Amino acid sequence: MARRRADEGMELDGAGGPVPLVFVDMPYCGGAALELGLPPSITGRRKGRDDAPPLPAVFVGGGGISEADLEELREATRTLTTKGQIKGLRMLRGSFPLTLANYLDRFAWKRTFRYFTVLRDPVDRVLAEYAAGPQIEGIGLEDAVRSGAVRDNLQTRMLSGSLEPFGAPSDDMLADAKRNLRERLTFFALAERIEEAVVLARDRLGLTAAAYHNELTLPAPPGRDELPPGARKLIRRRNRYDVDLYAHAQELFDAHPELSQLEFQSEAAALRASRGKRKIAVTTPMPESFEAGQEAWEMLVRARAECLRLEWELEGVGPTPALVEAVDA
Amino acid sequence: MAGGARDPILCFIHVPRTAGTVVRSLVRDNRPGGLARPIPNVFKGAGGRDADALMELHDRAREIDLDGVGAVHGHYPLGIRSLLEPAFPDHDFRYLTMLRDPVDRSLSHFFYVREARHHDAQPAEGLRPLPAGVSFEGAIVAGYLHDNVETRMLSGDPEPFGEVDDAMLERAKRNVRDTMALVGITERLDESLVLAKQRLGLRSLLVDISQRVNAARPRGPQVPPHLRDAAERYNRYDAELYRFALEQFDAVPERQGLDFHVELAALRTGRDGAGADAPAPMFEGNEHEWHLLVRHRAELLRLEAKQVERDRRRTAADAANSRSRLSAAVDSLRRSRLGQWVHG
Repeated sequence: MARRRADEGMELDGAGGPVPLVFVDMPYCGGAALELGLPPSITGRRKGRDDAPPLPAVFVGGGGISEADLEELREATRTLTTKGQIKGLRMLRGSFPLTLANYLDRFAWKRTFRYFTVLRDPVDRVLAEYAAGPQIEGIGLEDAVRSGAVRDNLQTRMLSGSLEPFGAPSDDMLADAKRNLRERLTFFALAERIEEAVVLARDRLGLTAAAYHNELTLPAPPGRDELPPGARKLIRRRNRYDVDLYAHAQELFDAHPELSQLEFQSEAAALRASRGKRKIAVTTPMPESFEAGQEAWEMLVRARAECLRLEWELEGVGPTPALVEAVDA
Repeated sequence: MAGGARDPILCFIHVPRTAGTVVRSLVRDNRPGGLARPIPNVFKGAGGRDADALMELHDRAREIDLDGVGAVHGHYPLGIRSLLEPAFPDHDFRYLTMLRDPVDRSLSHFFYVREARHHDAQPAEGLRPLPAGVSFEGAIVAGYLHDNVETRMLSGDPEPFGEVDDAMLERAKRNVRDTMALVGITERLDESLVLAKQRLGLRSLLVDISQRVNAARPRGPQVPPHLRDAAERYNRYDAELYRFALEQFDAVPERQGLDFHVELAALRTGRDGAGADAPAPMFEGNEHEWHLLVRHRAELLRLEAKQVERDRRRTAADAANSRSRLSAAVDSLRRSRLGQWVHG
């Protein structure tokens, strides 16, 4: 059974080191928002500490990826041992595909990796990438989608675990991605339900309680409200594997038993209420199963939200500006 | 403050031996946005009254430095409002106090006064030393104790030292009902603390309630009957005032609200580490919901106390740094002048 090191907020594995987390951070899926909800001791946000070794971000820039990109990633994992970094590793985070698991499996005899990711509604993800991507400047949204300048089915590709996650996606790739969601990943979040995800992550990733980041937020992608139906239809059609994968992820997420527990519901509601510096406002509707009534629900959520604010203030952990800026990246 | 409006200044009328030290700590450490300043005691905890303190207040109330002050406290009568309010017309003052069963209070005061030589507190100047084994009446006659001190202090009279009569009692009752922002009850300290937080905007309730308890003195059946009789005899007006204050305390509108009961349960849970009491009568949920609510509120109280403690340490550190810088500057100035003198 994994032991727990309270000061670090994470479990220890059989080798006595912290159980390393591998964060498959898919571009424009809200990974920064999830990371802000994790204990700073793990993410390196604690002052003066950034000990996660760099791995190449495979899925950046335009034009998809190639075999060379994956080879670079494989090479990079080798340096983990040569530099001795695997021993104290807390978290690997990057825009690398789950293919990485194949490369890290060779360390399985001494480290137990836990993989997690964030999925996002494919239309929102495409819009976020389109709004931010430098490679599509001057190209209309629909043209960018049609031409592949905005990557299609990125989530399916990255989670398939395929050694060749490029080229045309396939039903097999989708099936593999779905299976990985169920079996390979220790945990996954949905960007649209980031508060619930952060609360779940604490338990699923074996993290002890630590202050949540009170800037935790994921803004809507630019242009979503004005998106013409035709463009939405086009994005969904061009990303049909991701649409299918995301629907499956929603079903799995809804099936988490914690979601029906009052502790979980109030914690997620409090996290939502405590965000930012504005006055605490309880916006989460009272669960149907809550018997004590609206006043007691608001009192419960407000009390916990005030605790979260105070924990945050008293721990004095600040975000790095880069992470705040990267919230929608 | 923005818009020119000031937060009201809390005036804690600290009746001796009413567990007021706990409330004083609470007010001193918790008042958001302001320092807490002691005002010289008119009624001395160790016995007697300080006529000079009263005279000082009378003549120089305007000179009290209230800059940045959020609360004042001391053993002074409510009557000082007639000095404070005209002296500071731009400030609002809110008054609070604690009342205690007058027999228990005066017995506690009696034992404290009788043993005062064992602790640091000094009685008022000019009093003859109390003989060993002095009686309750003897302590009154010697000027160490006052009869009906709660009535005196809440009557609104700035110099409440004469005979206590029905008119003084009525004025005290009226003040309890109309003037005071809060009249807490020592025997119901937890409820009083919750009301203090809710009415006065204090930040934290988790204070050390064991302060200043005289564990050695006789209590309950150990108190000789003649002593108890004397305490009753000398505090008839206080007994009536206390009964009236209890009625008012039981009738506070906050009791109708769920928040009061949740905070009360959280205070007891947070301080004693015990599980929450049974749900409040108006709580319509199940026990699990009640316990979760109380647990979160207790955790909030704990964090608020931590925040208050952190702020207190910061203030103390800032003050120490300021003193240190000032001292260094003075030394530097001295050295430079000395250098000029030596070399000049």
